[in-house]
Amino acid sequence: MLFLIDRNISLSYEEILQYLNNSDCYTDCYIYPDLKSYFLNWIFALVNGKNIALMDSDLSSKEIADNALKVNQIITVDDPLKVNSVSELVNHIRNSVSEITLFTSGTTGFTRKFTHPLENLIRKINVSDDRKADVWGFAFNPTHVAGVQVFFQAILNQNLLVNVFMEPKDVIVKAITDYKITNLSSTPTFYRLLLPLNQSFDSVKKITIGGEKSDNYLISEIRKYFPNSKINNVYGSTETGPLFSSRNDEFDIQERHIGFVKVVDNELYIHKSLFGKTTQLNLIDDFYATGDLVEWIDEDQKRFRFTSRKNELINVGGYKVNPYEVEDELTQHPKIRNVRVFGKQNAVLGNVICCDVELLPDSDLKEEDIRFFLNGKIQNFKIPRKITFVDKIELTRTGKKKIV
Amino acid sequence: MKEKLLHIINSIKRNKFEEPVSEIKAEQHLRDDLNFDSFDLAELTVKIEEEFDIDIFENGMVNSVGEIYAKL
Repeated sequence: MLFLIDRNISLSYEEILQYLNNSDCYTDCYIYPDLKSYFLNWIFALVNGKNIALMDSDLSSKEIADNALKVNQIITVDDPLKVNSVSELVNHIRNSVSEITLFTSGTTGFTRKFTHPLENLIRKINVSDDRKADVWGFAFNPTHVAGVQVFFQAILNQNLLVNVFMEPKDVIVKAITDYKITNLSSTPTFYRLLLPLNQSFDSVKKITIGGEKSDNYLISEIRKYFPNSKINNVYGSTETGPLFSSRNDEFDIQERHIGFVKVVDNELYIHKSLFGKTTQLNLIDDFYATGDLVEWIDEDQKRFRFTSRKNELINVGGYKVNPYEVEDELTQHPKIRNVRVFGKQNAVLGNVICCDVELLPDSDLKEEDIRFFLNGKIQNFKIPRKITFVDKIELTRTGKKKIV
Repeated sequence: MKEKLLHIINSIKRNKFEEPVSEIKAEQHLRDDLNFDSFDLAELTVKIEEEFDIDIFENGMVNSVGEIYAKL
């Protein structure tokens, strides 16, 4: 019985058991070479109830140094647990006392760290016999909260995961056909890049969309090619874990969350009991202001819709980019006087990062020089794709850069 | 128009430290033949819009050089 297919690499449940029974250590903040190693390492920590931090494998050395991360720390476990069957494996994971640390982009730079007890991350996971035959197209970054959800949903139901994250369209189509994928979960950007298709796919019975604001047009397009699918829109974040789901762009607050979720000045507030441990969040009366702006569709019935973000993080294909972080890097260039980084709506990625650059007098720079300068300093998705050289960056009366 | 498109494609290739191409053909696929990922496709749309004032992805995805020619 297979757990993972990642191009030419596969991993069976049997191999997971063998790995667990023959290992005595795992790696924290693992810079992993492939998905198989990543999952084996994490499963070992989970089964043995050990805390682990999951991080992107493409962080640059500068980002690691700036955030004082200690990567690739090998942690030995005395007397690791022996696991004899897949059902034992599932039980150990479900009841694990591990705390999982995830990283997010935040308003002050790349790293805000959130540590979740496992129960926070698996509270929306459904386990049942009729999910045993599910096959997942794995289409999220594995270290981010949405990818973490798919992992738990799959392994707790003893499903197969087929990796299609960042794969070209033909590979995804072949994977859906060859493995009869039943469940797809990804960002709106993933589906926009996948559509239109030349055929429809009957095997897919459940589609989940999350990570960015979705819209009803996209949902109706997805329905055309996956006629047997139930389509779900989900909301969650690194801070809170998964919280809401819906059939379209309307969400409702479940009865058990009443009192823990509120809307103040159109902004969604979430009570601290619903998210992970952190000392970095500013709480107002024990509530965290998410920065997500919503509008009520029916306030009495607690139905609402997301409208936009309050803060200025730019969502690029599901990744959050803090424009100030990019500006900070650019202004360190010896020929640059001032920059303004902003998002521009884009059909492919939702938004694309743009920047205006004001050079120092008698300086000359080309677009490719700036790209070369940023390469390796910040992650690829943060690098501006439209660079415009301007005579002067306009400022407001209070000396702030104008937001266009 | 073809020359301008070649220029745009090569500017994207240079930005990712890849060798420029000497010519482009209608049947070439943006992803498979030109090695463009989703970020490069986004850059392509921005640059084409700047040059031709046309959003080539407005009504669905464009996969090949020939499909871009058709839009322009």
